[in-house]
Amino acid sequence: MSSLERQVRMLLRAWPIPDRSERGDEIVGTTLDVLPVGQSRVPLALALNLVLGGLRARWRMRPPLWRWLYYRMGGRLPSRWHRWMFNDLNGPGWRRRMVQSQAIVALFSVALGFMALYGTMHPSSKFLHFMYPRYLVFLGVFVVGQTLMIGLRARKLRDRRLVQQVIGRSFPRNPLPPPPTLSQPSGPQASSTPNPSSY
Amino acid sequence: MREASFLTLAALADQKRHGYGIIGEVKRISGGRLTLGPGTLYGTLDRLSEQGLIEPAGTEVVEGRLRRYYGITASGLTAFRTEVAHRSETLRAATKRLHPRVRGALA
Repeated sequence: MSSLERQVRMLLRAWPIPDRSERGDEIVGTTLDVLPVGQSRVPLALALNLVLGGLRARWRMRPPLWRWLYYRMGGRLPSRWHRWMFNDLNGPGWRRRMVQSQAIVALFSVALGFMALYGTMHPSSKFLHFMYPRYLVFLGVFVVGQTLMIGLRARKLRDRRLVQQVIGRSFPRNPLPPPPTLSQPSGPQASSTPNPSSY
Repeated sequence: MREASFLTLAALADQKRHGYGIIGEVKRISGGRLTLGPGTLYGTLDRLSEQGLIEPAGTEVVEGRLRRYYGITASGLTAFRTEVAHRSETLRAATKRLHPRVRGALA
């Protein structure tokens, strides 16, 4: 690999991982074609163009904020976002992303509970003063505990989530029907299958 | 439709081209005013193929560099025709305003 190609591949890191694996070689090839012969460095304008293009591609690939939140809370994404979703659940760093995002969701929900507590009680309430430190401890234990649990069961959770995203639910609600029983072939079916005894 | 998308469709309207070919053709069509960078080009190609206006049409390797060809689809050709019609209408209207006296003489 020439030093020029190495520079281009470095710039290509701005692009989303699926793009890089599907068409990275193609983009590198076109960029090298564009450069004049004998060039030893990628010009600044071209480098900026590549990086900005990559950032735009990342942005286009991501679901909008509300869909992202819905997905993080356990919802399904439409197939338009499946490319992003597969990378999220299967690409490099999936375990870290899973733990991180779950910790954020846990913190978010605990904070909501905290705000509800504050909102419904008088500030001088004894109950509130009793609850406050205990609630903080609960918050800590909850978030750390959930993060640990997710980290330990990450692979299983990930697999289940992939199935849920693609098929719609993580396990059949009703047991699968028994396989159809094989009946004796009769009529035209029997004549179309070759008879092993005739060979 | 954006300028880059329109010119990319124009470049692909007559034949299949690879990325570098599209960049060269766009430059030629626009009279050298628009040079697509690879970052812009691949963003545009992504958007166009998402809309089903173009499709990949084979790859080849030249001097160790991968080239993927793109071709316009039937719906891409339709979209291109519509866009050309819109743009020429706009151009005609704009050109009329360039010569108000001539228009007055004709009226």
